[in-house]
Amino acid sequence: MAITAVNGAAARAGIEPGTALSDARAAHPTLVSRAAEPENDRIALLKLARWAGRYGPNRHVDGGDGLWIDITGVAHLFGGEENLLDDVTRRLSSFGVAVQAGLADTLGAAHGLARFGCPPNAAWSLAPADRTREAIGSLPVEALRLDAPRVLLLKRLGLRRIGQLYDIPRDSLARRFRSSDIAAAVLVRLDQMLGLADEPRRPMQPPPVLSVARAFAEPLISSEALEGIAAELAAELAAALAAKDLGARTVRLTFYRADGTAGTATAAMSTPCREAAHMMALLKEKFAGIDAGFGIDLLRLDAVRVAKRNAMQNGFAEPASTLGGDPAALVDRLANRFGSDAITMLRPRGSHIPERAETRRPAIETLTAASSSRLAYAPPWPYPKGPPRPAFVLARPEPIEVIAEVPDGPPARFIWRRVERRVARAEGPERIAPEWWRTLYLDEDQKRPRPRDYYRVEDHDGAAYWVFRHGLYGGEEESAPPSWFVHGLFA
Amino acid sequence: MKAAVITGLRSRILSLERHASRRDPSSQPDDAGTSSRRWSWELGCPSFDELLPRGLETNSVHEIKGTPSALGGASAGDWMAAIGFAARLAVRRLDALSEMRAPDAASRGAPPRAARPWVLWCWPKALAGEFGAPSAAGLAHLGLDPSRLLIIETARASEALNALEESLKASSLAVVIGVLNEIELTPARRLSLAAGETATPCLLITHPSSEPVGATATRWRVARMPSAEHRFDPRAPGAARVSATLERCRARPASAAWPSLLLEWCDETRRFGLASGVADLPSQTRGTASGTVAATVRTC
Repeated sequence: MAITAVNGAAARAGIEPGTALSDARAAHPTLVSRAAEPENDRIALLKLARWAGRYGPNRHVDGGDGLWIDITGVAHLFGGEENLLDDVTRRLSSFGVAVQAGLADTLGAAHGLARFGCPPNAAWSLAPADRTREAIGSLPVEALRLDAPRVLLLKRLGLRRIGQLYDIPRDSLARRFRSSDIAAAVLVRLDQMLGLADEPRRPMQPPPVLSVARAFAEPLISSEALEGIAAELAAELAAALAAKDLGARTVRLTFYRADGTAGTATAAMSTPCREAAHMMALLKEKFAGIDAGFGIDLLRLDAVRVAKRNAMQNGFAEPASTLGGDPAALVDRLANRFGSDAITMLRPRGSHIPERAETRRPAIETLTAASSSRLAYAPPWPYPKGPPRPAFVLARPEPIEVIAEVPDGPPARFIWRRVERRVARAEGPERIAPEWWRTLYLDEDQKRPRPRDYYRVEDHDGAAYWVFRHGLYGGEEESAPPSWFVHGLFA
Repeated sequence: MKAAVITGLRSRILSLERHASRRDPSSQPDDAGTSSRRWSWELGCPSFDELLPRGLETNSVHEIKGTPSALGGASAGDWMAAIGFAARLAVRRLDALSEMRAPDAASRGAPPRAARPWVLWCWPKALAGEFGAPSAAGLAHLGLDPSRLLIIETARASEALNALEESLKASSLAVVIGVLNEIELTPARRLSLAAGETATPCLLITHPSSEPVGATATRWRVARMPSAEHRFDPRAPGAARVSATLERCRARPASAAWPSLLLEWCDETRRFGLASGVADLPSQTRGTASGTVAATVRTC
């Protein structure tokens, strides 16, 4: 069993991570050890990464023991880069986390500075803008983020500092390594550190389009204060959206607590919206689930998804909408309260098989498509005006036992859901053949879909059903006899 | 003298009960005709509409129940009868709205948007599993526009009531249809108040054997009857027929008898008509063209 982490006192006593526990115990009998919990560590690191969003939306976990935060355009909010670094390290140490920070033009350089470039008594190290090359020259080659064998190879060649790599021409570097991948890897990492190559990185959440935030000296605890500040933020965001002639489709309110945790409340809207009252009304319903904990010290409202607003849409703030008006506001409220799948609209699909001919999509996505048409007249649903169809269609046709009059005719009696029903009248058949393009490349032994003969039958009490016979009597030899199903109910 | 006072009081009560919706500024009636159509709509069958003194009011809840079977349960057919009746009432309401809008539009100049009214359907998931999903082709056949239908399926009945109340308060729907197992007095009163605020009618379909509740404007008991004869094919089912009993009507005195009539829905004119006659007994539909007594639909 090896040691994974040591505290300051153990480090001063000379124990390093990687030593075997038994050796360390032999050298220092008073050693106290605990089992490592890598899963809990990972979760705690993710929580810190979420909290670090207060400094900027572009951030994520870096390796197993660090975070990276992209502070492009954020530093001025904290009074400069040095003040920002002070703020981060002070807050993290107040949570009881030992922290070292590095700030540079590129992620690679910042990574190296944080881990290997901090002076002994300082918590952070900063590489001035455009002076990255000098700043990282003195870092050891472990800062290149290569795996251990390659680092060992570099050391064997006598390259211990990154500065030594600058002077060697690139092709001669490639010649020194046995294979060209190692050289390529080293060069790629070096270029990334110097900013000559791009480094792809994925933030925790997609960065929002527009964002307004407010920090508090005294952490907020009461919900009235929270609502008031959120309303002000909504007004600011609405003004920012209006300035760009955009409307928000999804807004997210993030609150950062004083103890290092964070939470969010999200609201989605069916049509692009820039009315603060509507956004607040939707977000207010989520406030009940917010726990302020030790107090909230930063509130941020992001517009995550935006779209251009159609000039013809009515505002939500109009008190009297006519009967032909848009139910967009209602759809937003209900969808945010019960889930976006709870309120749906019917949409057609390209198939003539009844259970596949229509589908139900969440109304919050389909409403814009349905009602923001620029034409004064939108053509109605493309349903076939043919034989009558049932008002309710079962998701899966249910099998029934049937006694038919003639093999090719409608049933005379059938048993559905364990009740026998006697047919008084019937209309049909309407043949719905399977989609021929699905049967083209079937093998011999695969089941082929069979044609269906639909009948509209009515029983003696007046209830009407839509039944079909799956397959034909006297069809191909050795095929299963046809079976009957109920597919829908007429209202 | 006393009669005059009573008549005066009656008319005052009527005008008070027909309260204007508090939120609709266009509620000032400019002429009596359109305002009366805004506040109520009819079945389209005059002999039944005489029984409803104020028509089907738009500012209230109407409850529709099927007929329970012998064991107190309800089969799919019983529910379907009630749902079909409610859907057809909704179609009548949409027709009444478009009639009301057409003369307005002609006189004032048409609004830039073709305003097609929206219908909302709300039920808890438990009932959704019984009957399947509403089908656009079928609803279009009944007369509703499937692209103007919002369907809400909630996990619990209480959430369905919440959704119904919210949708009644938003004044952008033409009619709201809710299907529930049962409803209690207080939620029914809340729905009634919400419907009154925005003059949006709410059609509630409840389980046939559930306790009837007293906060609704009308309560119907419907049972599906064997359908009319098909014009061309004696063996095919024809126009839908339903036997409707008006169990409760707030505008009628409580002692009046419960009228029950056999109504037939005509697909082309989208109205209810009175079906009479004892023909179309099931035994006569086995292709015996002679001896069939044709039912006469009195288009009254």
